[in-house]
This record gives sequence, C-alpha cells and structure tokens, in this order.
Amino acid sequence: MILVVTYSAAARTGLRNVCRRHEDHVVRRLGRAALLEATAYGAFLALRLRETHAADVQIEWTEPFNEFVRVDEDVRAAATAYANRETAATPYASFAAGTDHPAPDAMKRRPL
Amino acid sequence: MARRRDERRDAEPKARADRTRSRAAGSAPASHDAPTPDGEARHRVDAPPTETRAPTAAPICDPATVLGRLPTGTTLHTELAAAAYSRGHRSSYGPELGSLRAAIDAIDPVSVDLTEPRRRLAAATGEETRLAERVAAARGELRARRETGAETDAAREALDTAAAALAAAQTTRIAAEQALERARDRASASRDERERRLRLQDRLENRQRAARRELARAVYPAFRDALATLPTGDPGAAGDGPTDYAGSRLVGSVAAVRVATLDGPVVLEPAVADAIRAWSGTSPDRALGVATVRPDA
Repeated sequence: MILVVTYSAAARTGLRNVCRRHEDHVVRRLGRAALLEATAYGAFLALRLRETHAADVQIEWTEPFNEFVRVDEDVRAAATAYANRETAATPYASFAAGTDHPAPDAMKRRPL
Repeated sequence: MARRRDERRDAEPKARADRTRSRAAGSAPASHDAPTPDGEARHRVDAPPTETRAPTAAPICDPATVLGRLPTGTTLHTELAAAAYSRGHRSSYGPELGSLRAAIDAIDPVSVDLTEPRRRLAAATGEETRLAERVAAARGELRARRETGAETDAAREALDTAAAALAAAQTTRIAAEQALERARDRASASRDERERRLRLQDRLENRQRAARRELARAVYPAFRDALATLPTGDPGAAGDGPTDYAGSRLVGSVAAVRVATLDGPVVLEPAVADAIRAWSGTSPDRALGVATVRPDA
C-alpha cells in the first residue's frame, strides 16, 4: 500500500480532498495521513499531491506485516508472555531478566 | 480612524522587513510578540491578514476587510469580532497570538528533495540486475564450453569482464543506497520541524477562533440594540450570544456594520442593496449607518 503523510495545512487539505473524491482508492484515512491502494492510480494520486506540496508530502511504500516471516520466534513468544503477565507493574526488562526472553537492548540491536 | 488605517498599512511591510532581517540573522523575531499596551503594536498582533504564513489561517477580524462588503461571506462571529475590533475592543489572546506567530515564523525547515537520490538508486539497482544476468549468462556459456571440450579463453574473458562490471555496479548501488539513506535522515529532521509548525498553526487557528468569539461576545448587547433600531430587525432573535442568533443573515450583517466604527464606504451587492431598499422607512446608508456604494463604483 502507499502511505501518504502530510506536513502542512494546505497539504493536509489536499489529502482530505483526494480521500473524499477517491474513496474507493483509500484503504484508510489517519488524520493527516492516508493509506492508498497499491495501484497505478493510487500512486498517481500520491505523486500529484507531492508535486503540488513538495516536501510537505511524504510517500512511503508499506506491506502487510507477517510476524511469522519477519520476526524470530523468541520475540513473538516474549510479546505474548509479557502481554499476559500477572503483575501489571513489572517493566519488561525485569520481566525478561533470568528468563529465555530476549533483553530489550538485544532486540533494539536486532534488525528485522 | 483614517490616520490609524494608514499606520497599519505602513506597519505591515515593516513587520515583514523585521522578520526577514531576524531570520537572516538566524534568531527568532522578538519584536512583535511582546505584549505592549501600545495600540499600534496590538493592532499588528490582532489584525494579521498577511502576517501569518499559515495558508488556512483565517484573518482574525480586520474590520474593513470583513465588513467592507455585503454579503460578507463569513460568519456572524467574525462580523461581530470585526465590529468589536473597530470599536477598540481587544481580545485577551493578543499576546498569545503574537508569540504563536513568532514561533511559527521562526520555524524554517529545509526542503530536502529526495527525487535525485531515489532516481540514482533505481538506476544503479537496474544496472546491477542487468549485469548479474550477464554474469550468469557468461558463466553458463563457459560451463557449456567446458563440457563440450570447446575453446574457453574468450568465454572466460567475457565472464571476467562481466564480473568486474558487476562488482563496480554493486559499489555504485551501495553508494546510492547510502546517499538516499542520508538524504532520508535529513528529510526526517525537516519533517519534525514541519510537524511542529503545523501543530502551532493549528493552535493559532484555534486561538484565533477563541479570540473572535470573545470579541463577538463583547459587542453582543450593542448588536441586540442595533437589531432593535432596524425595521426588519428583531432583538428577540438575538438570544444570549452569537451562536443563538436566529434572525436573517442579512439583517445580522447590517446590524454588525451598525455596531462597527467604519470609515466606509461599504460596498453593497445589487441584490443586497435592493433588499435593504425594500425595508420601510430607511435607506441603505441609514440602515448601515455608513456610506454605501455599488460594486462597480
């Protein structure tokens, strides 16, 4: 999908108008950003906005996130275990200490 | 009043020059956010049709602009705020509006164009793919020649050439990737600035609306009195505040002009002039309390 983020009032209005007029090409609207369909027409809409508003429009390419493809098993297990912990106040670092769960710093250094 | 208007006209370019100078010097403009009791400074703070760079920031309420033409094309709030302003009322938001504008003006994000880095990376990646295919083909050719016992010198040379070209293309692609990455970092910093500016602009608009509401409320009793003096006006339609007004828009605008202190003249679209002429016992000039002219005058 195509992610369009706006950074000025004029660009935000432009995006809002595009979304209103081309609803069938908008996957989701998120305030001053929107996800457009990954079609040539979606790209056309995004590029047109950037042509008009230059650096006030950011366009990114996004993909569906599949944790079973992108993320190691230990990270998935840690997320599940921590979300279901019994003591709500425990920070993750303490929760992971002394277990097989990866330490936060180790995860921060591990690119996907 | 006439003198004051001339001063305002002079004040505008001066304010702009101040800003340009201070931006060139790399410092935030401090001149027009200081809350001073001086009327002219307040004028600049509160009447900003060209002051802000926010594209959608509505001018708060310059009386001659808002009320100088009927229909006004704006809301009763804005009309009454302009009327209040013309009578010397000032909102309590003046200093905040001034410092918000100064903060917005001080943000000057660089424009990072990522088009060229993206184009170069796409070209380098395309070239790398093309050469990788050539290397694979040359390798296949060499293998086939070896298997059939054919002469391999030329095929080996072609493979070496292709492999060397591929290595060079890979270096170019990596450099292009790094260049794009650096440019993206710069763009990201610039976007932080743009995001901050947009938030301040939104807050400015919000405060401008609040300032207009406050000013409109200040003259609402006078507005109700003005309605009573108009043959078509109904003070009962005024309610408690601008949001309650239930009367005709035109009568509301006319009453707002009556409340205002304007140098005039007010431009009346023909349909408006005809409508007011149809009111009994008055004329456009008398109803509005100010000289009126046709749009072509």
